[in-house]
Amino acid sequence: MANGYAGKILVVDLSSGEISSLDTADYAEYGGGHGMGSAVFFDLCEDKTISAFDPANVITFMSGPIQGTLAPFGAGRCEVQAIGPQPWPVEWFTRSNFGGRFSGMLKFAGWDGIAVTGKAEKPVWIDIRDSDVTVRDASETGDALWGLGTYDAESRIYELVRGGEESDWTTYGASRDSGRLAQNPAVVSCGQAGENLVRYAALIHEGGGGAGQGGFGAVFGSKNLKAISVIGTGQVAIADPQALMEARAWWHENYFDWDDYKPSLPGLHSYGEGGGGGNQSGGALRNVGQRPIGCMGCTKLCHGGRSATAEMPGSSCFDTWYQAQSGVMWGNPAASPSNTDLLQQYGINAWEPSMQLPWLVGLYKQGILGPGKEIDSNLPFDQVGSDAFNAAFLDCIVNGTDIGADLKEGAARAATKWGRYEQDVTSGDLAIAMHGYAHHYDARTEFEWGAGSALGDRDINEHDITWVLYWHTSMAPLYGQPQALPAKEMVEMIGATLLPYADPMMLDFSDEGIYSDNFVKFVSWHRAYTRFWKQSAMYCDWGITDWLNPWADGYKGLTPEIEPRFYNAVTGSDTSFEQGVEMGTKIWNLDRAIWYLQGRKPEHDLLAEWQFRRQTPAAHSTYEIPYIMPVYENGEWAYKNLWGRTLDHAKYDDFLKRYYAFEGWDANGCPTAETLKKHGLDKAADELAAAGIV
Amino acid sequence: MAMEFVTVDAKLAIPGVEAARAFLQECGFDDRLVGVLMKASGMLPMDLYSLEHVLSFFAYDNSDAIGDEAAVFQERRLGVSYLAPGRLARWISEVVGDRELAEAIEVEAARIEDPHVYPPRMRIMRELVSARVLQCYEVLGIDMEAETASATSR
Repeated sequence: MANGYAGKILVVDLSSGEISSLDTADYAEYGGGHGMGSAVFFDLCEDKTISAFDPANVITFMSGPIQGTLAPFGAGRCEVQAIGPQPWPVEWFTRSNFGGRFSGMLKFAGWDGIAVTGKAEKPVWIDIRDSDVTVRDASETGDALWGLGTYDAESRIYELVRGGEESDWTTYGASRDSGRLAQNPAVVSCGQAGENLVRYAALIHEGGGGAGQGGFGAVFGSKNLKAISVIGTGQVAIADPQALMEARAWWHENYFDWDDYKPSLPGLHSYGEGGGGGNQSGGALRNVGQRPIGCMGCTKLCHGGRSATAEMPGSSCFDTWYQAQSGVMWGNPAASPSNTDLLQQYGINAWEPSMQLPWLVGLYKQGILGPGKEIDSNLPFDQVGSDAFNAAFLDCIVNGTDIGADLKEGAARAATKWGRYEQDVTSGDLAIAMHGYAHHYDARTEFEWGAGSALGDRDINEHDITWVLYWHTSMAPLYGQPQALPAKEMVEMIGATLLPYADPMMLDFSDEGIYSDNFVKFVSWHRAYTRFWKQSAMYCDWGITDWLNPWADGYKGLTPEIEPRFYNAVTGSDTSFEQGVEMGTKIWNLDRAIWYLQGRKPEHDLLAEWQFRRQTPAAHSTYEIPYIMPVYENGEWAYKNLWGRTLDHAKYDDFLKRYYAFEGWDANGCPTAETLKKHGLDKAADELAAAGIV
Repeated sequence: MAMEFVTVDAKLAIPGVEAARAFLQECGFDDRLVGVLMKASGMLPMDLYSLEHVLSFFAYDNSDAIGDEAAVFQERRLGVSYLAPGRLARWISEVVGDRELAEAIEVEAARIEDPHVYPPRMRIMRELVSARVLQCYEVLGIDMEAETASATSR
């Protein structure tokens, strides 16, 4: 059946060497991506209470129907899931997602996903060439990949797979017609950080793409798995190719006008920036020495230039910010971009060292950390900001030397061991927001981000509502510009898309509004919407949701039309936007059930203490920036600067109780058997009952 | 557009050797200033311990490229280094001990009519802090180019 799916999910058991497959059809009810990954994990990982480094942990790489197709912002996305070593205090079953070519290439090879379990006796890598799957020796006596940085491992695998052919074409199979390509395989690998079980080790794909949060690089390391390479010579069968092409043309006409650039605010890129803008790292096509790169099928080209002279090749977004955090911040505006390259080669999630550094410098400044101090360290903190310090800092983490022996466990665990956690997280000097993850957007103001993250497993990293109701609304006055729309019109336009509720009151970010039943509904909607449309259908977080479009009449974007339009063209289904949200609710409940099988308790839904207090004197978490969002006060909508707000314990606790009830969870936040069965999650209900949890 | 581009009128008196040395001192942990790098993908609070740190922090900003679209989109470091002028002035006065610089920032920033608009205020802060740091380098005989090279390679 031509419906976008390849039909099989590859299963590799590294302990036994057995290679098998699952039928995708058995998981079709989850759509793809995250939903399928959660369901496959649920089935294959029998004991959910195991640690992230247990050989029985199952790591999944899932595509979905639109991956490998011409659907914009989705062709290259890949969802990664497993029990992750990074979350704290519990190693939650968690997720990450990366773009590039891996997911599409997996589909071309005939696979909808990969599940890896077990542990190899010695370092290995998985070599996928269409239906041929081989577990190969990655050790020094084999293909010599172990010990290499991610860029180097990827390059080496290119050579190994392409067999050193001088021709541009590589033939796979017995004959030319059995499949040949001029492309390199798509590779995802861990660096030395993963090999050495650094809890926030990332998986890197093509320079700067990668699954950062969760610590999946260390899951690879724990399995003696260096990399997965895939090359596919097939194609994705589309249910309605004409509808897909028409949708693409419709999107092209309405999402971004390549010939008539109209930023919604002068000088600021729109969410729909395209045509080589390279808008997250600023590399326009005309830049000398730069060639912006993008993910498969995407016109946005977020990633930095890749050329002989480019630094940070392929790196984008927060990865490139590490240059600032490791150098610029400490009085070195000329800090080398190679700081970021080093980070990527080691395979380290940029968020964690970026959070660690200011905290460690603070401890050094206070005389708590240093040679012979309470926290003994010989790192040259007097040279912080220099490239030399950065190299020593990252090296100590990767190799577990000096304070790196503790830092490789993550800041939360290191702070706990050093007896600093309560004090430094209460003051905010260590800016952990929830689950051991770094402060990203401010939960005190963007409550949907904070509460959504706390109720889950990680910082949600979903830039949708934040783009239109914080970034745009805060930047406009900063640049002396009028708001794109008055507050009332803005929330009514966006609120109408929050289906099935269609209620603008869900977007009231006032002091009372964020604790209201309307906001309970909004957090629930947001968890469900992103769980399906962003993480299961896997539209890129930076391409969709299109809520504010400068090229459309009245700025109205393509959501909620765009999400199902491409999905249905590829699958041939008639899935509505609301049905996608409903599937998201089901998947959210499955995840929540898995967390309860892992030992979830209501206290795990809390935010770190600094977000409830105003620090005096100013701590790292106390800063002043415009944080202008819509509020409904005194009977009318307005934009208001919410900077300076702190959260209230009693109101937050009450919010959680009402949220649990709204989702159909019990007083402890666990989905009830009735709720799970309503969503068709009978197996989860049975497993929770067998464990005595519900 | 309503953006104002202003020139800085204030002239800072050349500090003495002792004052210059004091102005370049790093402050202690409890006295640090926090600025925020604002970017669409997130915000990054930054601890600032000296005037040089403040200057470096502002070097990461390109918010004043507004109006020059090509410059913004060719610029890798698209982002706003945000520090409220009043907060910076208070810190410079109370922690750095440079009341003249603090007053100059407040006076010059107050010339911007729109109370919310930031880029010209950032330019004022950056230019005044830069001028003061360069004065201090000169008074103390510090080679600025060597200082930059040292920061990169040390």
